[in-house]
This record gives sequence, C-alpha cells and structure tokens, in this order.
Amino acid sequence: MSGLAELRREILRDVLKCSYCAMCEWVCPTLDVESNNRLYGPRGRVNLIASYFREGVDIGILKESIYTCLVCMACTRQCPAGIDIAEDIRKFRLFLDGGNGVG
Amino acid sequence: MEVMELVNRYINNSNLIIEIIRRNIMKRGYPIYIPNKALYGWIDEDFPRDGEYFFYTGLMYQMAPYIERIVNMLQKLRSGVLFKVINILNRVVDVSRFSSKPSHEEVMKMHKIIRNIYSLVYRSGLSVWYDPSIDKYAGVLLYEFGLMDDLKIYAERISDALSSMGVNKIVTIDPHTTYMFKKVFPSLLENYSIEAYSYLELIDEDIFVGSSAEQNKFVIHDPCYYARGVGVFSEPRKLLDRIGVEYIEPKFNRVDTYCCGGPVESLSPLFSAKIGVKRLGMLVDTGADEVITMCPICMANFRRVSKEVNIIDLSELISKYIK
Amino acid sequence: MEDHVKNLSKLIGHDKVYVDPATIKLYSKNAVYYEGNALAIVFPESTEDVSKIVRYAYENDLKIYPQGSASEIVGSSTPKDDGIVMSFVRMRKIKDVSYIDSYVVCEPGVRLVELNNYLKGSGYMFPIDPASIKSATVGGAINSGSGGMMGAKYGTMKDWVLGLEVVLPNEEGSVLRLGGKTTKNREGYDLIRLIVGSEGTLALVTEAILRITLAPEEVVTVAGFFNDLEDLMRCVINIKESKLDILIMEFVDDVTTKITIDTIKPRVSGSGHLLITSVSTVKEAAQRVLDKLIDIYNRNNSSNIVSARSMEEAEALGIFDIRRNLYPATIKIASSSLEVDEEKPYIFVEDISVPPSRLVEAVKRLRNISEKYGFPMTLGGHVGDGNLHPVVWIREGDREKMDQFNNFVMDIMKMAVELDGVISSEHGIGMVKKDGLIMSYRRRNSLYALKLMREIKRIFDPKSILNPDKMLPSDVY
Repeated sequence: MSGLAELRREILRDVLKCSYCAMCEWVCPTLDVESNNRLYGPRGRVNLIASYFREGVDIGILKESIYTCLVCMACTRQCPAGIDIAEDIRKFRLFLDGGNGVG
Repeated sequence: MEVMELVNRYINNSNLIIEIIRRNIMKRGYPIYIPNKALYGWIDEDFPRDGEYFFYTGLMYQMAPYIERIVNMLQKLRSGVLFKVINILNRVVDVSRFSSKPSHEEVMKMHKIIRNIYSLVYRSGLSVWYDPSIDKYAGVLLYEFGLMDDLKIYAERISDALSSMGVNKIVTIDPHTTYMFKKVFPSLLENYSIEAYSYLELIDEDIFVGSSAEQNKFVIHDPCYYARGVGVFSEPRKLLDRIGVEYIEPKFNRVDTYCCGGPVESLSPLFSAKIGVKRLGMLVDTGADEVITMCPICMANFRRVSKEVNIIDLSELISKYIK
Repeated sequence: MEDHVKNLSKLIGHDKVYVDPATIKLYSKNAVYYEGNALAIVFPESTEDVSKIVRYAYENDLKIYPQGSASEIVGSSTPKDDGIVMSFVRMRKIKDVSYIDSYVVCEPGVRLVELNNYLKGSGYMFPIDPASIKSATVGGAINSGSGGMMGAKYGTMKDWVLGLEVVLPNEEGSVLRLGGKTTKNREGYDLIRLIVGSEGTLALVTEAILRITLAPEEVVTVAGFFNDLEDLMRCVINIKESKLDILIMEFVDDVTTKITIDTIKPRVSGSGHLLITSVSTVKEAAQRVLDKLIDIYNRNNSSNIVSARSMEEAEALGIFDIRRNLYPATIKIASSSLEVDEEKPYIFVEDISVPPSRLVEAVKRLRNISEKYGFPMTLGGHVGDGNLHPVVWIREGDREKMDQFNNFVMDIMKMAVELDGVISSEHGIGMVKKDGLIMSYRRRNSLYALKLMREIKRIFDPKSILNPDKMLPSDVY
C-alpha cells in the first residue's frame, strides 16, 4: 500500500467512528466565532473528511473548513468515541498537500 | 459573512503562503525573516558553554513581534497574480524581509522575557548552558501545515546538531517548541534521545520570596500546547501560589483552556483576530486588570486585538520575586 | 426551489440562509445515521425571524424541520427534501435569571452545559442531565422530553418548564406566551406539557422559562459489584426502604462491566453487576448516610465497594468511570469488530422503562432476546427510575442484520410493555418507534389516544408543515 493510501486509511478509519453526538462542538472556538455553521466545528470537519473520501464534497468549502481549524485539541478531549479529531485534521492537511512525506 | 469571504480568499491563497513559509524554514531555518540581532541580541552576558541542560529558546519569543508585520503584508496581497510573482521571487530572496519592522521596544520586551526565563532556571540551581549556533526554530509551522516529509528532514538536522554538541537534555521556554521536542520528534525520529522540559517544570519554588506586593488583579490563560499538549498547567499555578500572587481562573481553564486564535493567523488573520477578541473578552470579564500568558503566540494575538488590556508573560511577573 | 431560497433570504437576510451542499448535508443527519436532504438551512436569530419564516412556509406549503444540535437518536430532527431545516443555534442568549423566584429565561439554542456553567457559583442548577448534556440544547431537550442520570429524583424535562414562547405553524405565524414564572399555574389546559416531548410537531419554541433548583449541599456515593442480580435488586430495594434521598442510581450489567474494564481500564474495578448510588445530603450528615449506604451494600453481598464522601472525592476516585465509559467502550468494541476497513460501525441505544420492581425480570428477558438474535449487547441504565439502555452494534453494510434489528427492537418493546413499562423513556419516537407506539396503545386497547394526538396535531398545524411524519403513525386507528 502506498503512503498516501495508508494515510487515507488511517484518517478514514478514525473519522468513521463519529456517531454525530455533537459533544465536541461546545468547546470549539471557530464554530462559535462567526456563523455558527457546523461546517466550522469539529463534527462538521470530521464528517466532511469522511464525505470527501467516500462520496466527494466541494473542495473549496472543504478547505475553508479544514484550514480554519486551530488544531487546539479542545474537541479531542470531548469525543466519547475517542476520535483524535485534531490529529486527523492535521493529517488530512498533509493528505491535501499530496502527502508531503508519505507519497 | 464578510469575514468568511476573506477567509475564503485566504484559503485560496493558502497554498502560496504555505509554500513561502515552507521554503523559508527549509532553506533559511526560520519561517519569516528576522534579523540576527532580534534572534540572538538578548544574549548580554557570558553564558556557560557547557552544562547539563541546554537552554533552547526555539526562537518563538523572538519571532512573535515580526509575525504580525508579515501577516499584515501578506494580507495586502490581494491579487493572485501578484501573489504568484512574490512566490517566485521568494525562491531567490526572502520576501518576508520587505515587511515593516516592529518597534525597538517590542523586540526588547521579548529579549527581556527570555533573559528572565534564563535567570529563573539558572537561579533554580540547574547547570544550564547556551550556544546560539544550535538554538533553532523547531519547525512548528511545518508540523501544523502537515508537511511531514520536510519536518522529518528538518528535525533530523536539529537533532543531529544538538547531538553533535553532546546535548541530551534541553530546557524549552514556549509551549509549541516544548510540544515538538516532547511529543512530535520522539515519534518522528529514530534514535531520538533528547529529554525536553518546559522551564516551568524545573523551577525551584524556594528561589522566591513568598510575599506578593501586587495590587492588580490577574487572570491566567493556559496555552493549548502546555495544558492539553504536554499536561503543564498546575506548575505555573504552584509558582504563583508560592509567591502569593492572587489570580482568577477564567471560563475554560487548565486542560479545558480556550485557544487564543493565534494558530490560524498566517492563513486567515481576520478569523484569528475574531477568536482573539472572544477569548480576551472571557479573560477580561473576570474583572482582572492584567492577563497572564505563557506563550508568545497567545501574547502576540491578544496584543494584536487590544491595546488597552495589559498582557504579560508569566516569567515577567514571577522573576520580580526571585530572592 | 431557487425562488424559495431567494425569497427567504430577502425575508430574513442572506447570511441566515445556507444552500451549499456541504452545509445541507451536515444539517441532514442525526446521531443515529439517518440521512435526509433539505432545500436550505435557515438560522433565525429572533422570534420575529421565526415567525416570518413560518408565514412564508405556510403560504408556500414548505415544510419546516426544526433542529437543535441534532444529537437525537430517533430521527426527530432530520429533514426531507420537501422543506428547510430551521436551526436554532444562533438563538442562544440567557436572558434573565432569578434565584429568589428560581427560574431562568433562555433561548432555545442554549446548550444544557452552558446553562449549568452559567448557574455555577450561585448554588443553583438545572437538574436535567442527559448523557448528551454537552450537546443537547434547551429547545431540543424540551421537544425530546429529555431526562438523565438524576431522573429518579428530578424527573424529566416536563417537570422543569414553567413557561414557553412559541410560534405556531399557521397563516400568521402567531406568537403565543404560555405559562409564566410561577411554579403553580392552573390556567386551563396544560399546553406546556403538551409541547414538551412533542418532537417539534406542534410549535416552534423560541424562548423558555425553566425552573432551577438548589444543588445538593453534599453528595455521597457508593459503588459495588454483585455476582447475583437478585442481590443487586434487593440492595436497590433496601436503599429505597431506608428513606435516603436518592440522587443517582446507575446500573451496568456484568458482561458490560467486564467489557468496559477490559477496554478502558477504569480506576474502579471488580467483577459482576455494578451498582452506583449517590445520595443527596448535608455536610453534617454525610458520614452517617455513607455508613448506612455501605452497610446496605455489604448486607447484600456486594464486593469491591468504593465510597466517596463528596462529589469531588467520587470524581477523584473515578467511581463513575465504568458507567460513563459504557458508550466509548461500546464504540471501541464495535469499531474493532469491523471486518472491512472503510465501514462505519452503527451503534443503537434502546430506551425502554419498566417499573423498578420488574428490573430483574427485564434484564433476564433482554439477555434472552439478545441471544435469540445473536446481537452482542452492552447494558446499563438508570435503576432508580427503571430506565434501561441496551446498546447493540451493526456493521453499516450488513443488510441482513439491519432487517433483523427492527424485529429485535420490537421484541424489546413488547417485553417492556408486558412488564407494565413503556417503549420510550427519554429519547422519543421520531421515525423509528412508530410501530412500537401502535403496539403499546393497542395492547392497552387505547388506540383512540393516537387519533386524539392526530387531531391535536391538526389543530396546531393545519397544513402539516411542521416536522411532518414524525412521531405519529399516519393511519391505524
């Protein structure tokens, strides 16, 4: 398996654990700051990543969502499913970058 | 909505910003241009050239005043074409040189913070030494942008340089550098054996006189990468308690701290500022007169959004009480 | 469709209407893998906004699907493509609080955790504490009729709403103010209690006046393990007989306890069924109450007893670790049970109640049902009020298991009804339990009750534009 495919597998496996409970959202600074749109919170980011891999999603909106994340790890602590949200987002940036280091 | 549109424009330019920063770090050893005097000008005495703990500044405090300037410059580059020109230009010259310079006072303030921290560890009885040639930026932005290939090469360079000078223990002074050495490098590099400690973990409480003379009310803001990253949050409180400084806990504290907004500054400055305003609001709402930070990024972001509130570094406060 | 979006934007402002596919997708899901679709997502910021949208929707036969945080698990918040999602997340002001009169006035988008953080320090609390307390909103909790761990003492949402401001789904988008700031209120039919638990089918809640109560001065807690379920139940009965002021009484069965201990390494450990009891008391009496509680546990053959004289001590000892990590542990097991990498584990939480005296029987029968279908199951619940939450997991691609799952749930619901219990305690009916609703009323020869509900719905919502096809079965009476 190539590095990029391995990275994809790692990220996807983790984000698919999301059950949409929303317990991550109340601590997210970026969700709160402007529109309150789920797009700019951890639950939205995690599920957009899953959508990107599984059925496709508008890349512009996806990037807006992913690159506004502070990677401050507040959400990671809240997730009852133990999803490493901040790390998945960081890894996904790596993926979007064409897998600098894993290609 | 206006902010999101700006964010959008920035995201579209983000690859270029990332490329400029990447190239700078890999070629020049820092993400943005900073004159040598600003990086190492804080050294004003003869530091020991050998010892047990290497004093590793990671250059974050030195860079903080410059970040705002470069961000402002990038913000003005609205046209994508101009951006591309800049990017090509950057391959030959470091374009971040062309941004305006921070004031002398700002640079000096940061230098004083570093010297204070050095005094704190030195007075705590640690055998600490310094050599500017191996005190490098730790690659924080490469990590945050997910540029792992570059980071690995870069981290190997840092680690090899340290090893070649016989360094196996370091004292770090900001949360981001601390996180790189404690969490990122060990999982990235084979044969990595450097033990890293935040200075907050190493200070001996007995070096302080235990009678605070502070009139102002303080509120404490934990940086994400100390509190959640490496679990450092009780240490600063113990020191303040020991000195007798009264401080207020804000909404969202310790491991549950709330980000200052700093990390997205280079990609979307306006978005970052909005978060800074929100967090600073929570801190000021406690009724405090001054905000205690422990991270140059937090400090810079709060200062950027408010000139009225007094933002200080923990080391400035506690070093006043060294016996 | 584009016309609707344009018109709505003109009506309430373009920054309150979203139509991009990514946003629509994120607002068309809930916490149990239901996925709908919608024409647009609207974010009203005031009662006036809500009323305007309703008037427009009424005139144009546009359906409205109200939504809080969409953390519900029965399908009560998911939209269909004949309408718009109305998200209340931007209406999140806490407007007023009075400790003398014991109420708080807030908008529907306030999360329960934020409400309690706001009250922290005053000595008061809002006592409805569902597992989703960090995500659940006031509006969502009202419409779901939420409960929680302290249900045995404080009941559910229906006991804590003093007043409501609602917008009716009629031609005028009428704004009504029901109830008020007093605990006693006998002004005609109790319309508030009708709206609480109505799953967004009757009216749109735009403001709530909630009762608050003093937090207990001291809480003592004991946890212990029981090999025999009968011993555990006798312990429960003895505690109830001893006239202690029970705050929390949580149960985790032996299989689940073992799984959870193996998966998450909690700080409290033992083998058998776990019973955790917290009792509300005052500082001076704490030790005496604690001794009494420990004695009851001991008399009923409990092992590995851990006790705490305060909530802080209980947290420090990790007494609630196993109960709280039941769901995380289940997710871990479910994920590791996947055979194919890119599959999603589906996790389903059931929500029946039986009278507490029938719990032993209920647990035994639940296990038989789980065995019959070959569904591995974790089991925990609120013994204080007889509310059980069996949890099962299925691979998303497993069509066969999904089909069996519906029968499995029906068997569980039948069992609850046979033991004089209910098919839904605090999660609701939504789209998944309509059959159960019919079964339950039929068994009591009371199907006419569903007809009454239909008529009530028709009076509130004559054109059926508000959360249509939710909760009420269409025609069986």
